[in-house]
Amino acid sequence: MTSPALSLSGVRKTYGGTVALADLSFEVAPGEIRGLIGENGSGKSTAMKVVSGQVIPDLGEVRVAGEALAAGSAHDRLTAGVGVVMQDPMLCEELTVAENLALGRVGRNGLVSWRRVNQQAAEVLERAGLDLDPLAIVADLSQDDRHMVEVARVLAWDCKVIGFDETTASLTEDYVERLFGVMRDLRTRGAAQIFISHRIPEILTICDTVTVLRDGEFVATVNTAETSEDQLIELLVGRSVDAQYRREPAPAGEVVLAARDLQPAGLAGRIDLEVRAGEVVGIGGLVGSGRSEILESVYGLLPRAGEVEVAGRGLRAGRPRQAIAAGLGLVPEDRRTRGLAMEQSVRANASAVAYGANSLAAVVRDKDSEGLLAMLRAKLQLKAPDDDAAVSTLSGGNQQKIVLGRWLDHNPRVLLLDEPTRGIDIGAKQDIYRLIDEAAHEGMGVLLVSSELPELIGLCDRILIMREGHLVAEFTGDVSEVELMAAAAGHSEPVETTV
Amino acid sequence: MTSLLTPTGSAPKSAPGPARAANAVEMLRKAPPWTGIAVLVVAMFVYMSATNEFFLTYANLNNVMRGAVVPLLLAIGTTYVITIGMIDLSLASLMALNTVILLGFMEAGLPVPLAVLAVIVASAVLGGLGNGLFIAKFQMSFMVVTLGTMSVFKAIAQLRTDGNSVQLYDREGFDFVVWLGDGSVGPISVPVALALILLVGSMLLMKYTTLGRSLLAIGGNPEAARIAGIPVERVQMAAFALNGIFVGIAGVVMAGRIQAASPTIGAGMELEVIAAVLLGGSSFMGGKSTFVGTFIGVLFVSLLANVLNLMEVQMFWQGMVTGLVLIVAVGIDRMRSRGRT
Repeated sequence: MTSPALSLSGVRKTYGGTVALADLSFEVAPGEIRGLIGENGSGKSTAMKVVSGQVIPDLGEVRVAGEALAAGSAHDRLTAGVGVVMQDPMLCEELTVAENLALGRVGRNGLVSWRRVNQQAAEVLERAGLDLDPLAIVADLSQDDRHMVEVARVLAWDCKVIGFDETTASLTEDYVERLFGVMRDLRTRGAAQIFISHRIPEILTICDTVTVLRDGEFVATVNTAETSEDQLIELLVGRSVDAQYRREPAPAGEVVLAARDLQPAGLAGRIDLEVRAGEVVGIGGLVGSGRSEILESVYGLLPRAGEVEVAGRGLRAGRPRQAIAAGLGLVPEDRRTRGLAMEQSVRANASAVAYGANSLAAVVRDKDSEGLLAMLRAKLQLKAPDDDAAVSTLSGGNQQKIVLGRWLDHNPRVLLLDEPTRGIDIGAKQDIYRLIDEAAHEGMGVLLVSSELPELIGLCDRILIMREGHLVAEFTGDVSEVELMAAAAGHSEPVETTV
Repeated sequence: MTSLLTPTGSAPKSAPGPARAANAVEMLRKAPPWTGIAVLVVAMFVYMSATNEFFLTYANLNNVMRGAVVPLLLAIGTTYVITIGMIDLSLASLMALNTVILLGFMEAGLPVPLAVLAVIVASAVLGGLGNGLFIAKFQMSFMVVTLGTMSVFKAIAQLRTDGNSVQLYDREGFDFVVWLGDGSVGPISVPVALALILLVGSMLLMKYTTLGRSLLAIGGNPEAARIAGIPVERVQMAAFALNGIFVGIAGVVMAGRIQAASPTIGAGMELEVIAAVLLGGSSFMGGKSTFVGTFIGVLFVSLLANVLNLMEVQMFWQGMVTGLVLIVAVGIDRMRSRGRT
């Protein structure tokens, strides 16, 4: 065996001005299980997509068993023996398990032999350790079983290079064990595997080696036998401390937002939390831990159980307009799909909150929005060619300033911010930090979800950590990134600290 | 683009040639979406004026305008609905039903002006509740709901009259409806004036009311509108109710023109109306609409029929030309918006 099963060399990928991967190279040998870890946005998913062919790198190449892979479709990759299991199952819900396993592998002459399809499905399911009827409809399966069908699909292709992108994130413990069983089986068959997980203990259990990425850069590859959880977390986080933003806490006032026994639909835990006027409260945790669900269920976008009060006034579930009237505002995570009408003007988007507060019969003129637009330019440093330009022509930072600014103008009691600085440049980031700080000093309560630990530490008076739908830790005062990461990844017991 | 306009790539970037070309491209991008179709309308007008002596007469042009009134009223209603990214397939059936409802109210003894008003209200309720409620509150597909009501409205009308047309010209007080549908004050046609006033009213509503701005916001991104606090369901129902009002008015005008209640009048017209609105530059995806464009789109379709008629071309060519121009026009618009990134 001279050539590795999989090798990436000099892979670089940028999106607009953002570098997702800068010059990544690594090799995986046949029979090796390679862990791939990094914080959100470190580039590990991009790396996986380069392997699966979903992302075409700007530079560099991917070789499988020494052969360079041309850019191609997922089908080409599977034929070449490369399969990736995604975090969310991509199955045809209304088809049977056997049909899903046979997708893309139509029989000879374009004819389907149902006997063979079902027989092969039964074989593959057995290898995957699944006791499923090949004729069961996917929509009727449990989430766990669906994930495993996705795994079985890769087995059916008999791939030599297999990636698992956060496959364990939504699996129950029992099924994680089953998956590990399949991975060990694949190891003995000589497949090269890449395993992405946020959970360090899983990495240490199943992987032979682990590669750490940070901000799109390769940090290190280490043998799992020679490392520890603490060392991996340090490698993961390790950034210089001096560049961090720090804000002065504002005096906290009365409770403006209170949730009791809050249980957003689909989450396991029941959550109690409070935000006071002038307080910035952060919610950290891994992707999928239930952070956004808290904001969205409080705001009325997601069904929930439990009570939510804004300034003492109870809110009914599923009523965003009632929530707004009581004094809430929400900046959603994905501004392109949920924050803005991208092809409409700066003016129209900036005015949306004001329109929502108006009576439908109220007269509006362009000059009504002049004050708001002037405020956006002066206070938020909004840079837009003109007020009638489509927001799709603006930079991400300027787009975000419109979503944030229209709420600041409305002056809610509590502002809910979901990843307010994702995908925007450093200058705009600093502007947004300053605005959050000013709003808090003027008495607004802020509840903020962020994947960026320095952001949580720098901005928040209090940080709550979510893990698998539960609120597991609360930090006030000085806290390190390592402590936050440890609580979020759950390799140690929740730490309660107070100052 | 640049390489085509500069001599063998030697010109510096600041050369006036490419800069002017870039300006022209920019101007084309900023031009209203109905520019192309307006050019076609003007071209038809100029060509016909020069080559056909009958075209540029009051009688002919008045005829074109009177024929365009019902499609224009329906197209105004459709423009509201298309603004929120939906279409109403039931509009022609509802219009026919409205002529039958008018008959019903008159037979019930309502004074004619009151019956006319009642028809418009009934149509707004049928559009706003019949279509809007299912679509907005129960989150059903507008295609499914309006396809269903298209069939239901037509059936109700047919059941009421056993599928026949009922003559109305000899009914007491029906003169008022005829006046609305086909009358004139001096040289000015009443229905044409009415439709143009309503068109301008709609332009004002869209631009200067919160409802109009909310329709656009929802068409642009319903989820973002909801998060910003816009009452999405209520506004969606309002769009269908407004559409119902215009279909009601169209029904009255139609009854006045044909002097009858007819359960099948205008069958198939919905597609022609939607085509005219799209020709005018409103986006099928919602969030971008123009009443001026709707007017020009309807003008194009009506003028085309007149032109083909005067040129003694078979009327079937109208569908061919409308369809091809529609595909080309929307195709060009698509390329323009893609070029913008």
